Amino acid sequence: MNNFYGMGGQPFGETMGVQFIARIGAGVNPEQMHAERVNGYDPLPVIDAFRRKRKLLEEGRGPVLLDTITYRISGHSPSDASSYRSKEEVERWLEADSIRAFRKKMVEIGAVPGDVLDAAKDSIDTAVFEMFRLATDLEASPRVGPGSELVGSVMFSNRRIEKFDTRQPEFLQDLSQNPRVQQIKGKVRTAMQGGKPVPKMKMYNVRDGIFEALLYRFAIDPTMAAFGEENRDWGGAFAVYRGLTEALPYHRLFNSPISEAAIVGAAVGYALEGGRVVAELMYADFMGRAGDELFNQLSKWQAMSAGQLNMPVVLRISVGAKYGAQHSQDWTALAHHIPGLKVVYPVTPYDAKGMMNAALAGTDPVVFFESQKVYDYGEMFVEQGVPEGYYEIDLSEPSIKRQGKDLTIMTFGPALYTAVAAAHDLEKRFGISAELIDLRSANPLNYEPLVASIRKTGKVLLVCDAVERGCVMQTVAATLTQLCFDDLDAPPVVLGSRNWITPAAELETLFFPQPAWLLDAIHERILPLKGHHPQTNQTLGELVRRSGLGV
Amino acid sequence: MPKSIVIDPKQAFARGAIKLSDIPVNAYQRTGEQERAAYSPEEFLAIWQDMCAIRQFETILNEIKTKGAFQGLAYNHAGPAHLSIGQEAAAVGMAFSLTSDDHIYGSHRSHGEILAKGFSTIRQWSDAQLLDLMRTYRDSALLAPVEKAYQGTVKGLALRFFIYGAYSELFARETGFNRGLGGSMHAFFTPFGIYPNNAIVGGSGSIAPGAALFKRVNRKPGMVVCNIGDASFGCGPVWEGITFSAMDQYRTLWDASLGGGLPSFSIA
Repeated sequence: MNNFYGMGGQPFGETMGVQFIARIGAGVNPEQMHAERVNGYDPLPVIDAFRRKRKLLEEGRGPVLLDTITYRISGHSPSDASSYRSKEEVERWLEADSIRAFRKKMVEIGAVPGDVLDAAKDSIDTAVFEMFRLATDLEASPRVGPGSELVGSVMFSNRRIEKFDTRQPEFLQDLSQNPRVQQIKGKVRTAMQGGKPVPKMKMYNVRDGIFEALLYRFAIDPTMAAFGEENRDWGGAFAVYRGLTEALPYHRLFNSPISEAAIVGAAVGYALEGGRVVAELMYADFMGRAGDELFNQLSKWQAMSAGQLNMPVVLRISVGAKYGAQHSQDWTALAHHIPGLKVVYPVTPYDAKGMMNAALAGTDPVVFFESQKVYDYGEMFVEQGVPEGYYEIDLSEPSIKRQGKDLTIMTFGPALYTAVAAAHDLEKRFGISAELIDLRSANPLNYEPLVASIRKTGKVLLVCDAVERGCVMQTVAATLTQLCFDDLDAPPVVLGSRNWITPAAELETLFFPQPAWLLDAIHERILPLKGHHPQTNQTLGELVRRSGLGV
Repeated sequence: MPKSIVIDPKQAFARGAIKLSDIPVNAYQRTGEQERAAYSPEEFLAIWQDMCAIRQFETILNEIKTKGAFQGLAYNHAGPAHLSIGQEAAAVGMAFSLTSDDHIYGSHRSHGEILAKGFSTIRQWSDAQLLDLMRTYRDSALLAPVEKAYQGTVKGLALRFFIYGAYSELFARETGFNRGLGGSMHAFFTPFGIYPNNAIVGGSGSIAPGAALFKRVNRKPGMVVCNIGDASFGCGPVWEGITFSAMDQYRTLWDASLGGGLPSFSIA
C-alpha cells in the first residue's frame, strides 16, 4: 500500500531515492519480480492486477511486487497535525476520493443506478454503527476482569503435537544407509570407558545428540523443515547437520541467504501457518540481526492470538568461543528477558538430545542455545551413557550433576565444566563437598530443586559465561535470595564474564570465569577457605569499583 | 555451494550488459463498456458496499478519537487507531478475488485490508460454512451478542459478526477475534485467511515469505499476500524477506513438482 508517507516522512522525494517502489523489482531477479505500479485509488485495476499476478504465482513464477498507489486522507493517527503536508495536497486527494469516484464511474457506465448505491451505503453504514455500539456495550462485550490471569495462561501453548500433518515424511534415502547414522552407530555413548577417556573420533558427543533428536522428529513430522546459513552441504558451520544433506530433500533442509531477520521471520511465518520448523543462527552474536523477529514476532503471536495459534519453532543458536568480540558472546540474557520465549542451554550430550526431543515435540518457541566449547564433549554425568532410544527432558527442570553437602554451585551453559574443575579443587584441597546444578533452562525454570539444595548447603555460587551485568544468573540469584533468605549463610554470589568485549582467543582466560575465580569468589564472599591465596580480586570492594567504572 | 552449480571464471569475466525491461506504471486501461461487461451488477454493488463499510468503520474510530463521540454515542478508546481512510479501493481490490486459502499479512494500518478480506470471504462461503464457523469459533463467544441484536440472513449475520469481532478486538473485549489481546494494530482472523497484522513497520516483510514457504513445502493451495507500506522498504528485514522469497534454488535445486518461486506477493 503505497500511500506516499511513513508517519510523516516521505519516501518519495525525501527519505528514499527509488521514486517508484516497483523499480525495486529490477534489482531482485531477472523477472524483475514482475513488478508494476497500479492505481489503487480505483478498485478495478487492483482486481485486474491480482488476477494477472495470481496466474504468475500459480505457474511458479513468484514472487511478485505490486506497487499499489493510494493515499491516506486520515492522519497517521488521530494526533497527527498534518505538519508534513499541505492542506491543498490533501484537498486534491479528497477531490479524487476513491469512493466518490467509483460511485460516479458506476453511474456513468450504467453499472448500478445511483439510488441503489446510496441505499446500500445507508444500510451498511447503519450495520457498522450498530456493531460499533454493541462492541462499546460493556455488558454485551465485557473485558476480562481485574486480577485476570488470561494473558499469563496464553503466553505459552504447552501443547504436545507429534506431527502437524499425516502424510509420509519425505526423505532421499533409507535412513539406515545414512553415513552419519552409521557413524554414530559405532560410537561409544559415554565419555569414559573402562576408566579411560574414549578417543574423540569414537565418542558420542553433543552434536550427535542434537542430530539424533532432529532426525527422529524429521521422520515423524512431515511438515518439519530446517534452514539457516550453511545448513546444507556444509552440514551446518559446526557439523551438527552433517548427514542431513544426504537424508533430506531441499525443501526440508536448505541454505538461506545471509539474512538473519528472514531466517527467524520465515520460521515465524511457517509456524503460524501450521508447520514445525528449526531455524538456525550461526552465532548468538547475530541475534541483533534478527532482533525484531526474535523479540517481537517469535515471542508474541501465540499470546496475541489468545492461545489460538501455535509457534512450534526451535531456534538453534550457537554460542562461540575463541573468535573475539563479535563471535564469542553468550546472549542468553537477551532472550530470557523477553516474555514468550522458552530459553534453554544444554551442555551435555544427554541433555542436548533429551531437550531437543522435548523442544521438537512441543508447540512453543524454544531458543535452543548450544556452546561451541562443548560440541565435542562426551557424556560425563550419566553413567549408562546417552540412550539410543527416544526420551525427553522437561524443559523447566534443572539437573543435579554432582551431589554435595557444603556448598551449591549453579551453572548455566558451559560454565558447568568450569564448576566441575572448581568442585574437584574444593574437595581435594579444602575437603569441601560442592553440589553442582546445571540449570539447563532459564525459562521456564523450576526453582524447587534449587531451593532444596540451598536448604541443604546454605551457600550458593552462580556461574555462567555471559557477561556478569544483567546475566540470567542475576535473576536466579535475586529470586533465590527471596526464596531462601532464612536458609542462606551468605548472599548468593554471581560470577560471570567480565563486562568487556570478548578478547582474542589467547586472552580469553582474562574474560571467562576460570576455576580459580570460583575459589576466590567463594573465599572472599561466601566461606573463607583456610590457607587459600586468591589469584584474582573477587572482593566486594572490587565489585563496587568495577560497577562505578561501568566495566 | 552445491557442487552441481559451477562458477566458471570464463563466464564470470565475459563482457556483456544487464538488460532490464520496462516496468509498467498505471498500465490499466479499459473502456466503461469493457468494465461493465467484466463484472455483474451484484459484484459492482459488493465492491461499493465494502468500500463504504470500511470508510464508515474508520470514520467512527476517527470521530471517537478526535471528538470522543460518534452520532451522539460517546466512547473513549484508549488505544491506537492508525487509520487508512482513503485507501479503501486498494484493500477491496486486493480482497475481491482472494479465497480463504489465500492468506494476507499486514501492517499497523490494516483495518481496511482485514475488513475487505472478511467481507469477500463471507460472500464466497456457503451459509452452512458460515454458521458452522460462527457457532464453533470460541464457543459462540462472538456470535451470541450479535445473534441477539440481529435477526436476518446468514450472510447479514456473518457480516455483523465480523465487524463486531473487529471492533471488539480493537476495544480489548473478550468478544474480540482474539479476546482483545491483539488489538488495533495486530487484529487477525485466521479462519478467513487473515493472518497477523504487524505493528512493527515492515514486520510482515520477513514473516510472509515463511508462510509462502509453508505452502510450497507442504503443497498447500493459495498464495500469500504481504501488505506493507512504501516506507517499509527502508527496513532491512523487508529486503531480506524479498531475497528469501526470490532465491534461485526454488527453481534450480528444489523438487520440480513443488513448482518454482514462492507463492508470495508483496504490495507496496
